[in-house]
Amino acid sequence: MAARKPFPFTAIVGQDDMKRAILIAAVDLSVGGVLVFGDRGTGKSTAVRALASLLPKMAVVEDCPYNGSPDDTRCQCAVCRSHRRKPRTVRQVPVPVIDLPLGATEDRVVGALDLERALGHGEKAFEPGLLARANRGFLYIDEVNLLEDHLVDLLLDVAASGENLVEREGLSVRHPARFVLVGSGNPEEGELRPQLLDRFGLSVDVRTPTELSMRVEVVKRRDAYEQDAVAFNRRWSRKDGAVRRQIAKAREQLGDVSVPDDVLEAAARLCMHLGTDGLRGELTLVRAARAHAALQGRDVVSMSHLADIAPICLRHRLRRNPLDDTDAGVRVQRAVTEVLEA
Amino acid sequence: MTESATSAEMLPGLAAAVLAVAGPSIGGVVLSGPSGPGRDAWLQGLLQHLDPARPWIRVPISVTDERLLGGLDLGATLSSGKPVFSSGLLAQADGGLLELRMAERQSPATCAAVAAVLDEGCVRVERDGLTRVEPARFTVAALDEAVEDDAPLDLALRDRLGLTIETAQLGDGPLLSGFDAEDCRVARARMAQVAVADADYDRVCSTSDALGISSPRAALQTIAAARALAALGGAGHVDDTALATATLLVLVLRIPGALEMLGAEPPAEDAPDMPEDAAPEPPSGSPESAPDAQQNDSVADGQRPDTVDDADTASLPSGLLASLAQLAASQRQRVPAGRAGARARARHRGRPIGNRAGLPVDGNRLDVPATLKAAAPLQRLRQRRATAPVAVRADDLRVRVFQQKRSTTTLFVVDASGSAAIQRLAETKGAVELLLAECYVRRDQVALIAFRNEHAELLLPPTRSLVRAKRALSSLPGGGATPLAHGLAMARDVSDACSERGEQPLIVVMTDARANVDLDGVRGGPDAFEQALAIARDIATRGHTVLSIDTGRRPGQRAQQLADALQARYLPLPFADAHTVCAAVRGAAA
Repeated sequence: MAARKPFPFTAIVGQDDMKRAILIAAVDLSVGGVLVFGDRGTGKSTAVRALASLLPKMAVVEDCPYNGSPDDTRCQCAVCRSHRRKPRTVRQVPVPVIDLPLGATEDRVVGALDLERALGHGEKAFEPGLLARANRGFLYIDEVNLLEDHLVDLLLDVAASGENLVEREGLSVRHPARFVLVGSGNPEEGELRPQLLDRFGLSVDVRTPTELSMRVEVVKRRDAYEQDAVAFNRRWSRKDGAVRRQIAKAREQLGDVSVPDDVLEAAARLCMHLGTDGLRGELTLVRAARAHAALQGRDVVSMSHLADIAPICLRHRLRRNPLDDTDAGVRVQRAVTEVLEA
Repeated sequence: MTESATSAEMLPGLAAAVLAVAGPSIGGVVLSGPSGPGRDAWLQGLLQHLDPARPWIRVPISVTDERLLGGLDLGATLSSGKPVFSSGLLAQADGGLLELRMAERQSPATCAAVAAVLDEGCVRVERDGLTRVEPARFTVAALDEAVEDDAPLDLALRDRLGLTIETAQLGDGPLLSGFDAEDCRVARARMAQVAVADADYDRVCSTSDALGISSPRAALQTIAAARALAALGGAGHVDDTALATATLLVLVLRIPGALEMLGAEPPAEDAPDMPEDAAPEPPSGSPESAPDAQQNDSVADGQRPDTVDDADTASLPSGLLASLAQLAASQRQRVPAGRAGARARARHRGRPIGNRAGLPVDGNRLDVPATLKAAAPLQRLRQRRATAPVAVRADDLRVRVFQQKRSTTTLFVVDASGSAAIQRLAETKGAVELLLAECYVRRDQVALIAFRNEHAELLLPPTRSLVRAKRALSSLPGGGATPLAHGLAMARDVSDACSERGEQPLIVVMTDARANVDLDGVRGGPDAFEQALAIARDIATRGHTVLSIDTGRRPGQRAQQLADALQARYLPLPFADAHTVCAAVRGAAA
């Protein structure tokens, strides 16, 4: 079944933090994924599904099951290996945004014995799974807090190494699996394991808009989309096109954006002040600030860029204090004021 | 708009007609209440509004992912010699009705799968080595039989189902809407052309806001229902009557008790201009809801003082709206139990940790892909002698292996009476939060019962959600008499429910055991303590781990007696702070 065209990204009302986080992740894949948690009906999965159409195409070696890049010599698939010394057919394809649906079994996630060939011809062949398809793209998990524990373990392992190692049914396969993890869910369904939380570079808390006028606009646009998705998309195609160009341009410029020493220092002080563990927080802050600056067409990262993205970079990295009720985002905001304006 | 909204007795019938017309864009209906002739009659009535050829798929309570989503068809795979996919219930329901039985007890995974299909109109399957996307546009009828303390219907799914019918209010006579299947079919075709005025969006959102329903989905469902009603009436645009009726159907009936109230109090005749102060008194209502409403009056008033007045709402009498808003506010205060806490795990479920060779007997489930995979490489060899397309030998059979992790539910039973010093409450809150922070790392759960004055209250149903726990704890009041027996009785019920779900209860009783309210609620009743001891002995027969913390200033004889009756570990902790309590509980759990 041909899926209906997704709701246009630019037609999402408000939710600036969420949109910003998704754009940053689209510009710099190394920022490390986005977690969107929040109220029901706030367009969490809508925004993620809209992402696919905003991404510039990427070059892959034709027929490589892992979306191997022509510039990457590490891909070990048969196609890439045999082509290594010969000229390869290169195709421009959309960046994959792969859904990990609920109830997916492990064999489909990591890949397993190709049933058809095993049954029909008695051959042992590897059939790549979702992780292979998501290589160099995005892996989206809706209701991420309902994901089975054993799949979480598996994802953590692969996400950490960037490589999927399959040892099953007598198969031994290793293939690149570098993907940006995007998760969404509702905190009332339970919390995420800290290890998984840590894998997400950015974290956004979405709330139902409190202003009536905004809610009315949400309902109007959604209703128009439900009535005629094609016409609605046509109406927003110009704005979506502008965002697509913004992302493409920001990606090109990303390497030229410089981060002054005082911004680096401020990022470090911010993390120290909040007591976030490890270096990941700092690294994410700097990368996200750079991507944010690139999106705005700047070539130098400023303090205000840092302040803009600090909450989404750090809110899920604070040490939990069950006796402090303050929203994590607010705590980061407070720290930003104290550190950056001191 | 003189005949304003439709009369209450027409609503169930209209709901069926609207659902038959606007099915997938409204999501479906929640039939809340016990099973009975009324509910059966309503479902039969719905059937009469639908095309007879449409599928009607029933999802049983113990449905597996394999049945729900689909998977490898063993029979066909074996006979054809290549993998054959068999559709699950969700795909089979395409174009028809999906009936979720005992919806409140369906696992969060099942509910999330249904919710995902409602959003996307298709099922995405990645199972057993197969990838499929199958169309699935259906209407859900969720039979929600939750009572008082049960975990309610999964909130994410609830949000996607537009209509609500309280089955207790239904008669068992035939369902009347004034429309038949043919009318509905015609209306369905016409619905897309029905125009909605810009102002109608504002009115629906204002009404939704006034009733405290913040999800934009509810407003969209109202618009869809209004379109359906207009189409049924042959109108080209949504008029006031259609909008008002849709508002009643989607927004108002979502409030428990609303249907009964509408029946008792027919909407006023010349509604729109009715001044606010002429509003009908909130109805005396059902006995349970009355105290709630009273208790939360201040909250309701404080939260949204002017919204009802100011809003240009959807053609409903403003007085009616005001009292409904009040009813809604009182209902909102009832904190629903966490779904995460209700994750029932049957014995054959849990974390699949692989498969092993074995026969599918004694409740072991055949692992079809694993079996086929075991047989697959040997086919060439076997084909020479066998005639079947796939030769599977007993040696190849694999069964699934699950690891059932028994999760612990720590149940705090806290004396919030005056005799237990107020500061204890603060310490207890601290201890619960510390434990919860740990439990959440271990994926265990915490629940909290407090007792004071005449009754005990389940302030925090079993949950591992920090968000929910904080909310419950912030509302823990102190002072008053000590109804120990009530507290223990509730602890017994909650821990029994935990055991039934396959969780291991750990009970922590924090009291000085100076019981002075008996089970009849009489203060200073002479049997108060004896009754408490009797229930304590009953709890002891369950064999759960119990920790009895004496919160009295000096270790007391009564607390000692209580601990003995509970066969509990006794801990006199006159100077307990949050960390000591937390450490003690940790020790007991180990």
